[in-house]
Amino acid sequence: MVTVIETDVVVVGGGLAGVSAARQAAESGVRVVLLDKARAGTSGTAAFSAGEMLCWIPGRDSLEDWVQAYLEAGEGLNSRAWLTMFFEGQYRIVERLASQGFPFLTDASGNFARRSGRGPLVRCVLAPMMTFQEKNRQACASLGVKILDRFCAVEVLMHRGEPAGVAGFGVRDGEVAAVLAPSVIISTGGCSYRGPFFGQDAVAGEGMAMALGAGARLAYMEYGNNYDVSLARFDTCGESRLTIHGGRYLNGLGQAFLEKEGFQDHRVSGNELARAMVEEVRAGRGCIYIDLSGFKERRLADELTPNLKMALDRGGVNLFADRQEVIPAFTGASNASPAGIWIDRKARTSVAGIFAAGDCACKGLVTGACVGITGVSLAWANYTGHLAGKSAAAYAAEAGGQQARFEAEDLAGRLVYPLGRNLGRRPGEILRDLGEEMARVDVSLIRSGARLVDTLGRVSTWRWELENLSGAKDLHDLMIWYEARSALTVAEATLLAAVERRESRGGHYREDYPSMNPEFQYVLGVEEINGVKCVRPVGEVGVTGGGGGRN
Amino acid sequence: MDVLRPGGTGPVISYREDCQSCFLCFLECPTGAIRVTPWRSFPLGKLYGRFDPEGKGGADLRPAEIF
Ligand SMILES: Cc1cc2nc3c(=O)[nH]c(=O)nc-3n(C[C@H](O)[C@H](O)[C@H](O)COP(=O)(O)OP(=O)(O)OC[C@H]3O[C@@H](n4cnc5c(N)ncnc54)[C@H](O)[C@@H]3O)c2cc1C
Ligand code: SF4
Repeated sequence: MVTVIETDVVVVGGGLAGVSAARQAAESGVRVVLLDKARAGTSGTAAFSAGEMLCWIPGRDSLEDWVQAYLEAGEGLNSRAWLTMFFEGQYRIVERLASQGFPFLTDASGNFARRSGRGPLVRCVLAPMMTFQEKNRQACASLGVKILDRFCAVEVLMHRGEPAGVAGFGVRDGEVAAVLAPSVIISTGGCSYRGPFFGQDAVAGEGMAMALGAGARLAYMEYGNNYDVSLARFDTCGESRLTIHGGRYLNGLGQAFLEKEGFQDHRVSGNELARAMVEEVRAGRGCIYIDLSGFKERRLADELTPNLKMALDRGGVNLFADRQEVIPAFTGASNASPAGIWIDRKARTSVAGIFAAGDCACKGLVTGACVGITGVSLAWANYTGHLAGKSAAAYAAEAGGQQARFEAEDLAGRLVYPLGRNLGRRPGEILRDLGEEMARVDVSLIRSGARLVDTLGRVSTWRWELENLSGAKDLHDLMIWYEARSALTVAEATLLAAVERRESRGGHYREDYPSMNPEFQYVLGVEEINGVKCVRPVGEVGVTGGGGGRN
Repeated sequence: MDVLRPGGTGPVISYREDCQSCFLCFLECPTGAIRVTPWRSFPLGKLYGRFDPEGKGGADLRPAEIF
């Protein structure tokens, strides 16, 4: 038995991008359904974030300086047109949200409070994201958006090459449903392989896998290797930002190694920082510690991430007095990773009717090859969320209420087939193995062709095991089964693109090709053709304008 | 995700292995009924891989409190 719901726009994933897209689409006057496998608004990484949102402000910043700094950091893989549109558009949206009462912090004169961060030229407005997202959700509800929490989306339904909607199941009640709509927005966040850090358990690449399965193109996948910094004893993530305001990293000999390497300036990105940490360990000077005795913004840090303060207090740790051991924190193709679904300047994917936003859309269009810029992820989710909402509503309005055709047939049986099977390991065990493998710095940070191929072999074995043996013991486990399958797809796309890029550029470093090769100054796309993943150039971003590609 | 689920007389711990010690439930709980272990929820495996054969980087650190 399949429940069928008809609407104009269906939004899959309710993080910052998804809730913003749903609100924007509803404001345009169309019917909207918002799905989340957990709770829309407060489940994804957005609600856990430190609330630093990149924001260029006219009159305070030079647009040309910003664009230039990001073009330099992007190393030839981002576009001027995208950057200009992103900076200007993001500011307009932030200003409008502030006027609607969204909780941005202000300074003594009532202007947006901002702070700097890691990356080429970073100034972020600040917002407590839990409160922000709760308000975002309430705004959706009051605009009539139908919110379905605990609904795990599994596939985009296609009919004759066009999207007909989305199918999935209720994680609590097991009800299989098809939400039919001419416009589908995918905003399920990135892929951190259900990583072990705050907020990462909701993002395993489902949107990217769904889009690929529906015929859309992924891009910048070799840059699906974001590292930040975590306290070794806690599940925290994002500590790289603490060094901006007086914190320091020390090696096992007590040396401030970033300063030694000439990295004291804030322009070093998260991945460059992680590589410096690894080189210390490799040279036998590990472990790595963070020393925050000189940290200047403790009150603000506590205000923006109260849960981090709780964890530390409960552990009896005074982060600002005692040195703490830190490790590189792998979050893969999520957070400040450029990887994701290819979109054009209207947030359209390469399949008409499917739109993408947030971490699952490729932010390489603005970051280029630079992995780990503070604040860019929330800004990207905010900006592309609004963009996708507007474009999807216009597309649905053009469809004029014409509902795409769909036959429920064997949907229920097809979606829940792993349930009750008990031939192999649990999906969660396979996903954990995959996550550990991808997090290894000798696989994802300091790469070599041979090691990448080796890992690809392991990934295909795990895929075979999952699809042929592994079963789900209940509905929660079934959700993890789909997460594991999606994460395997993202891993394959990431590894294949990393094998193909036979050079080093930005956050992609190959020991066997340690220099940049000008012949590789193009974006790599990944598509599925006859069930086989193919990696090929999408076009020079600067030349095509970064959005057109081969749409 | 789904660590806590509604039960007959109140929330029950259903998928403890999914807990990320993020403390959000602790902050939100209206009656202060929730206690959370702050330590890393599971070990990270061979994070430094071949670059740290003797495990000096500390990525395998397993807090004594839980392992
Ligand atoms: C600890 C931490 C601190 C951070 N700090 C910052 C910061 O200060 N500044 C910054 O710019 N970025 C920061 N980030 C990154 C930033 O939070 C994310 O990049 C951004 O929030 C992504 O938003 P999103 O809407 O794309 O996805 P998410 O917020 O991750 O939301 C995705 C949603 O999709 C749902 N979903 C997934 N799969 C399915 C499915 N199959 N069916 C239905 N629903 C599904 C999930 O449940 C989730 O609710 C931080 C991240 C973390 C973890
Ligand atoms: S600490 Fe976080 S992950 Fe654990 S149960 Fe509470 S809210 Fe869920």
